[in-house]
Amino acid sequence: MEHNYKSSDIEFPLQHIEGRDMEKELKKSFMEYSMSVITSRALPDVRDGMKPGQRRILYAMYEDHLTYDKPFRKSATTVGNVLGRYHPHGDAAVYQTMVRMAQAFSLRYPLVEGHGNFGNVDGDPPAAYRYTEARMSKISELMMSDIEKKVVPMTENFDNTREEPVVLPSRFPNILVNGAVGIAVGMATNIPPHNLREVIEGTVYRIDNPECTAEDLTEYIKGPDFPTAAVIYGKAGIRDAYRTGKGRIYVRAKGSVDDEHKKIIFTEIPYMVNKSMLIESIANLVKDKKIEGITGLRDESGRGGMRIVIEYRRDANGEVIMNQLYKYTQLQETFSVNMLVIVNGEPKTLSLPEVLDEYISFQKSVIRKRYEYDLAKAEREMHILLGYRIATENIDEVISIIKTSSSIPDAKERLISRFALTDVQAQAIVDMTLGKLSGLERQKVNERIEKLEELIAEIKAILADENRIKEILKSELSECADKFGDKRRTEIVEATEEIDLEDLIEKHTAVITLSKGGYIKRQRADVYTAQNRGGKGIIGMTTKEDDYVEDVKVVNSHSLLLFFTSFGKVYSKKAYRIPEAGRTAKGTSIVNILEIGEGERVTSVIAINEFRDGEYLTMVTKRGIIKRTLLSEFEYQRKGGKIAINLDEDDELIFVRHTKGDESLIIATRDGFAVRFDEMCVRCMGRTAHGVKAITLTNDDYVVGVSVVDDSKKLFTITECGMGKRSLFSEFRLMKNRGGKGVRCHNISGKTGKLASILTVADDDDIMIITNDGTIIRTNIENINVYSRTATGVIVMRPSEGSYIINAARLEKAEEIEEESHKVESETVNIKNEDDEDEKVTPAENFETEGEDTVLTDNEDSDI
Amino acid sequence: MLNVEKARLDKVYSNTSIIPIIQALGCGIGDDFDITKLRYGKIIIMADADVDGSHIRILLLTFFFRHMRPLIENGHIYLAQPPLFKVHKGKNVRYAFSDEEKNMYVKELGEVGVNAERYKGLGEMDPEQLWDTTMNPETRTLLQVSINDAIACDEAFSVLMGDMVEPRRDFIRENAKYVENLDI
Repeated sequence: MEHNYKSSDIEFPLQHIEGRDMEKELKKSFMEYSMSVITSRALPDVRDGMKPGQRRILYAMYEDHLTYDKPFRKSATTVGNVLGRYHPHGDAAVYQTMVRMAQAFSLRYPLVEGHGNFGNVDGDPPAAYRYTEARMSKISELMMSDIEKKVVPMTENFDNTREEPVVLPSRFPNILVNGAVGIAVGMATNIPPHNLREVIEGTVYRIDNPECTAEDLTEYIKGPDFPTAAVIYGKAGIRDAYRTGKGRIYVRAKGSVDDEHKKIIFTEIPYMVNKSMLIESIANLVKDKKIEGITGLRDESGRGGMRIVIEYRRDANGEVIMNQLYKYTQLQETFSVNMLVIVNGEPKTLSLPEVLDEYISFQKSVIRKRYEYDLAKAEREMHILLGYRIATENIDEVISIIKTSSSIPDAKERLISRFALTDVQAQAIVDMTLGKLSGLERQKVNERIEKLEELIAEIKAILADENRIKEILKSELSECADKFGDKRRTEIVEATEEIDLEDLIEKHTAVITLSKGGYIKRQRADVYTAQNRGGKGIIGMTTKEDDYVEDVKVVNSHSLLLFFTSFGKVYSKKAYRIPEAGRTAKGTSIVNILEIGEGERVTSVIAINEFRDGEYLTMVTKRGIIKRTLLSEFEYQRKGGKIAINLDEDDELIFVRHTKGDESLIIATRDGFAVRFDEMCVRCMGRTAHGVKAITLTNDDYVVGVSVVDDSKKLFTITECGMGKRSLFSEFRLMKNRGGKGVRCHNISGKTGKLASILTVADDDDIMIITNDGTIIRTNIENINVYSRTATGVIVMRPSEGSYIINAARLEKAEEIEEESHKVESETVNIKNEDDEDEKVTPAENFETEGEDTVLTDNEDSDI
Repeated sequence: MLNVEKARLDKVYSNTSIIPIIQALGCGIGDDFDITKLRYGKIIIMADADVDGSHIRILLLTFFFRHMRPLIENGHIYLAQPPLFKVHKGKNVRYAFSDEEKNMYVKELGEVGVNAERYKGLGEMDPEQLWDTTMNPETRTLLQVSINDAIACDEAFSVLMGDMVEPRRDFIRENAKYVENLDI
């Protein structure tokens, strides 16, 4: 439809239009809204711990005499009354607020007693307000005590038809006892609930010791006490929260591992965690494989209490799974305390002592007002009784005055002028019944006057004495604690770290590979499967050109690794902190892990499980210097490293051995010479000492290996070209002194190459041999025969063209190595072989034959 | 009403409170905005006279500022001025738009037995009352929203309605003492 308005038809010259600047309007409206939300909606008053909505609910119930000793009434009644009288907002909001006050899992001491479905920890909604019933709880009466005695200020309601309290008398410290949560604009509050008895004890202590610290108060107020119990993990957050008003408190579900049945059972969850969502999140973690090993998840909660059951695989570690659950789910929650409250109409974050002070001073005023009210009442009664007394003493005259008066006002006036009475007294006299004139009644009046005199004197004495008010406050608080106090539910345990990474990692044997170029990585030991002698090996690490694997350590994942560098310094790191990497991966540059200097190389890695007394680190330098130092000197580490040995200018620390002090050492050089002497020959020196001479070197010879003599074991030597042998330690004569030139330990020739490494090996050991191009072979030592000290040995490994052996490492015992059965992708690697790996061949058959070349490359889907 | 300052664009365009506004104005939004297609001369925001009304008003202003700024620049956005108080004694009723005016009417009606009620929402008024006090073009007062300093406006919207909490808290702290109307 077309309109044919003329613009003059719809112009209204009389309407008043003013300009309004956008910025000004925005700021003004925003401030009105935000300040209203902050001061009178979302944040609790420090004195009674109530937000206006909550306070109005309790007050409306109180007005309706809905106390715990009266029958329940429909929630709708309360909601309606609250809306109609005090709270012109949404009914749903009012009902939700009331429901929360009735939930035993939301409030530590519920202020409303509910009847019917009030929701549950699974986040199921309560029944609608037409179904449920509610009344004030017993403790809630203490929130209201003496309110009729005008102990708290009142204000007019929204339509000026009623008065409502600005704050409730709160005869227990509700702000701390039930806590508060609230999101305002630009700020939010989060106060945890506490144990009533503890808070009252703390308050009483504060009354007596107004100068005490937050720390002193924790003697009484140990920490939050959640209605849902659970466990507080660590005390630092509590201390922060009490000292400053802000702190992060870790709360954990209470759980236990039943290793026999392979179950983890949780019986309590952190405060305000929705159980069904929690379980869903656990299920998702299992689905996404973030946590492995969980086979079943059941919620067995019921009337008997909460019970979440998690079943895990037989081969999984329950403790590890539990720690992972704490780490990744709400089974561990952070409760960020922010004790933001309204103090004198302004939002403030208060420390625990400040909260208590505000509460105490408010309570003092409540008590004072109560006595003032009682005093005024007693004085009023006294005043009237004194009038009565005058009247009864002069009863004949009073009667005649009244009889001769024309009206009551006339009688009053004459009485007032005759007996110097007040209007109130005169009124009381004219209202007197004749019965009051009996002797007994006269007696009663006199007795009452005496009593009132006493009472008035007593009240005046109390009001004049601050200490008496304090005493009264203390005794009333203690009474409350005796009546309503209960045992703490939440357990508080000490914790060193939030969750130590260590607990999240399953203990395993790890292979730490370190390259000459300073790349390091960690792999699980079972990645390497045993091959037989003569095998070409598997790729242990891909290195950059000109780089090669220098050291391989088989360690426990939780061992402390001490990294000794060419500069004679030592750094430490837990083994699991070394990034795990695939088999052919290059690893991480050591400079990203340790704060080492330029040109500094890690030359030795020692794994320590425990710093025991009587153990030593024996260090040998390239130039044949030896030093022995107590292991315990290395216990305390600094991030920037520590000096391990004081080196000559052209020297390098190349070998460090972990010894027991009673060992005999063999030090071998590149030219195949070795000395053997007792460790005792080297006296124990301080951490920064220089050391003494171990072996006399000829020409440019240098030390390649140090071995600990063990007569039940043998000495394994291997040359650069892969010629290896075992020899008996007994063939090496024990020198009386250190510093000799030594004897031949391996026949070095052009065919063998120089000596690469020496090892002490047991008969059933596995060893790993590493070439400069990063190929590693793992083989059983049994495959290598025992030869004489000066023999050449057999081919243990054939380094591919141009490469040579640089080191060997012993694996801890021969373990049952699971065969890896996956097919091999070989295109990326220089050595090609499509055969299955791990052909088991007997040593005899395989002696000096072409080995079963086996290559295993790292492919994407290998489950390392 | 959605806070468009914090919401992603697709959320804004699919919001069920915003779509009717876009449809009613007929002038499109964002790149398609065409002021010549605007179907109304005056777009009047009429919100409750309480602080929640203030909140809704700034949410709407944020939307117009961020997504239909020419409407403001061309003076199409107005704020209605509903009365803040109803002052009455018997059958005598006065509507006051400020505290001063309220006090004046209270005096005028003779103080004793006079009631002055603070309006909380538009819903408290009969349609007839609403027409008389707020909507009748012959007598109403409108505030025409204008942008005096676009940069300052932009910054104010970012601080007050944006993602960052810190600057908002600072702003509240600095301006707390200037607040006039509080809903207690």
